Amino acid sequence: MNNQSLLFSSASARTKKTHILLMVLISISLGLTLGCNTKADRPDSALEEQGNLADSSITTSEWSISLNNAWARPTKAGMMSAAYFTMRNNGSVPDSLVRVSSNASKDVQIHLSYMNDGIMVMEEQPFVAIQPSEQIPFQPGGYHIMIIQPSMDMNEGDMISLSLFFNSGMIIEQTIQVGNPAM
Amino acid sequence: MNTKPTIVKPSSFVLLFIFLSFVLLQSACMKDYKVIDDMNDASFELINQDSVRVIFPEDFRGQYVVMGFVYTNCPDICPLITQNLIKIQKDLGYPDNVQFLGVSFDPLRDTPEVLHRYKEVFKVDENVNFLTGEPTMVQSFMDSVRVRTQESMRTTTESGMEIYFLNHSDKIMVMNPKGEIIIEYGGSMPSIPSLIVQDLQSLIQ
Ligand SMILES: [Cu+2]
Repeated sequence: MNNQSLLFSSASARTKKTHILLMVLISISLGLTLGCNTKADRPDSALEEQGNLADSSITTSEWSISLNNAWARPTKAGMMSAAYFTMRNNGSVPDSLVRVSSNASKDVQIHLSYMNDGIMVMEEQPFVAIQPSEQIPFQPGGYHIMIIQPSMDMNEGDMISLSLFFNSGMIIEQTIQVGNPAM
Repeated sequence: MNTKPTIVKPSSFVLLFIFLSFVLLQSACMKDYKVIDDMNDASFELINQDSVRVIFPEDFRGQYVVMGFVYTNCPDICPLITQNLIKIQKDLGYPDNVQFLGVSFDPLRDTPEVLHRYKEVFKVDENVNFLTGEPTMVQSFMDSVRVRTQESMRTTTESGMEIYFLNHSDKIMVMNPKGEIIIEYGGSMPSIPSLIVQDLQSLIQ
């Protein structure tokens, strides 16, 4: 940028050239600004194409996300279940949960329930971001992992597997218990 | 200048406290239940999980009714409402003179068989009835109790089947023996069972 302004002042003798130069400079800076914006938008677009754009620069020592008190709601094959846990980021880098899979169903989604104008709403979430030291509860009436029409009965005491895919490319694979241990 | 602070004797505090508690206690005991909805203007023909025909509110006249509103494809909120119904029944000591109902607002999918299975999964007591019915009948019933629903997400499953979810009111209500709805609470909140149990105990005694 400094080089360009030096160039600009030396050429300031002839006004015609100045105008042209000014326009070039404006377009350069505009281009740079737009370029920067696209870069800032990247997390969103990266989420859409997650997998291809996994940030492999993160080292495992910086990354530490854990699931605690995980459980899934008992149900019968073909009905509905949900999995709950506390997700905690003990590492030094932020990340986003972008996809979940399970052996219990091919259709597993990240959902959020919330009250809106007296109506209980449930919505699919494209991702759930978690900052360092942040703890996000997935609990009834809030975030949950929706297990749609499980292919098998999920009886109390059974175990199912969950795989949580993060934007960083990291995956948590965990076996969780069916039935709420707190109840 | 006299800067001596005015000291209120502790005994005055105690007296005031007792007086206020008394006033509060009395107002709580005399809690006035206003009629939220009179269900007697209409009659709804519904069906329970065993395909037994139920006429609402006629079949329940003379008894208190605790009812929650659910749909069985809901894995997150409706189980909380169902579990609250179960807890209210248990905490009241499985009374014979109170009816418990779970009414589905998704009659297209919640057939009696589905409701039967749902009751099994949630280990619901046999004296709790889950109701469904003909869609237009269920819709007018929901309108009369002001339970709103709206279709939300549609998802195509891996096997190519389309499923949908519903956004819905979150309610548990109490109807008195005259067929009037007198209590309405948020259905899924953990504090609801103890409130309804208190209300019913003070009403029934
Ligand atoms: Cu959900």
